[in-house]
Amino acid sequence: MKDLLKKYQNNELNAADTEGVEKRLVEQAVERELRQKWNALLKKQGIDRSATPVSSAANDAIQPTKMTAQRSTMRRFIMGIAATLLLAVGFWWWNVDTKTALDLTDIALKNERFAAPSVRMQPQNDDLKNWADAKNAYRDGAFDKAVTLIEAIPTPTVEQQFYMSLSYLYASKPDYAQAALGFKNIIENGQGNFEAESQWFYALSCIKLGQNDAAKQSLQTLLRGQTWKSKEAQALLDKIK
Amino acid sequence: MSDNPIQNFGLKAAEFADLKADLLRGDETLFEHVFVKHFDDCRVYLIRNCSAQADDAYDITVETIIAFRKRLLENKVEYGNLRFYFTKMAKDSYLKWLEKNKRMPVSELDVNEADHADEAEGGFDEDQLKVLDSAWTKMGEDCKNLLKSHVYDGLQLKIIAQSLNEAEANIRKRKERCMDKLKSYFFEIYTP
Repeated sequence: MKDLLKKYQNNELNAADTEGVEKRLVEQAVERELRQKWNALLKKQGIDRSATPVSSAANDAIQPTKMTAQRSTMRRFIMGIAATLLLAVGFWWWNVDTKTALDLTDIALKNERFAAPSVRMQPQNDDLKNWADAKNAYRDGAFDKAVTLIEAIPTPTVEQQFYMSLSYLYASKPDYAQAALGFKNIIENGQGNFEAESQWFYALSCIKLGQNDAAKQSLQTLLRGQTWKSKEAQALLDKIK
Repeated sequence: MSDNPIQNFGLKAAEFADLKADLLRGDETLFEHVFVKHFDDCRVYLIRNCSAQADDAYDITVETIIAFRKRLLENKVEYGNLRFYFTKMAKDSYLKWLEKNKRMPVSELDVNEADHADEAEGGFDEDQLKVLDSAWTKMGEDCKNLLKSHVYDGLQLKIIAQSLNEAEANIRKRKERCMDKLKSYFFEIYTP
């Protein structure tokens, strides 16, 4: 580079080489300026370079060994019992009429996990492998990992998008805005697939976001279908002011 | 599904087209808004999937935003699954950075997708880059914008002339004068 710059300084380069050096000079100058600009912009938004923007869920990617698989089975068994107890408490709690819409939403999200899809076949390609792994992650409660895996599928199906949105909702640090966006997209473009389920979870996401009008509209749509979750939808609707 | 905001930084297809059109006109407001909002998503991805340190993930995400911006201007990015594309760029960039700094085996690199990563700061050494910073700072905003738009963003002089409502020949001359100015400022300080 030193020799090239010397020739450039002395106008000894041909037109193409001159253009090449000038392009590199400008590119470097602009990129360095862009870096400074972004650092300033991020700082202004309170994004700190050294702060870790993630919870302990960073360990989700640990590969299962025989021991961890056994522990996982045991943990699932214990979790199953705990979930049943929670459901019973939740059912009782749901029927006590002193709760707000937000209370009922929290109960619904904590006590009742939407069933994981089943793994029926051996994955034949990367997308199917990601989906199979995502289903296992969802089943094991590793929702951050499920999101990452489904996001890596270039053209996800409605079902995959539905589970990605659920995973946003159930994650250790839930992203209600992303979940709501996903469910809304399914309602609008999913051609009827997972529609009732998306209406319900969209309503829950909206309540968590404080968007009660949108939640109300979604619950009313769900009730018009008079099928799944109609009792819970009515109870929530009654609580939304 | 034609529109899939959840995989596209919350953007619908038409909004993505607006973002690209804005960038081409030199308006970075929407681009900055979108990527500031999703900055930590990408950092989290690098930390979780590549075991990156928080500050390394920060630097790589900034680099990826800059590279992504350039690809948008070159019309190399299509609406579809922007989040996947962006995080893939970030991951490849991080692996390449690791290989350079920590001697990671090259076999773990996805060579096909790693072409966005820069080559040792364009071949300049640290002293040359400091001089370049100083020379660039001395340039006026008009010159910097013109060189950035034409040389870095790849906009044709004809398009720049139209947006400034001036003759293309004038813009061409101005660009040459700006380049001469950068050269003179650079060699005022740097002796090869």
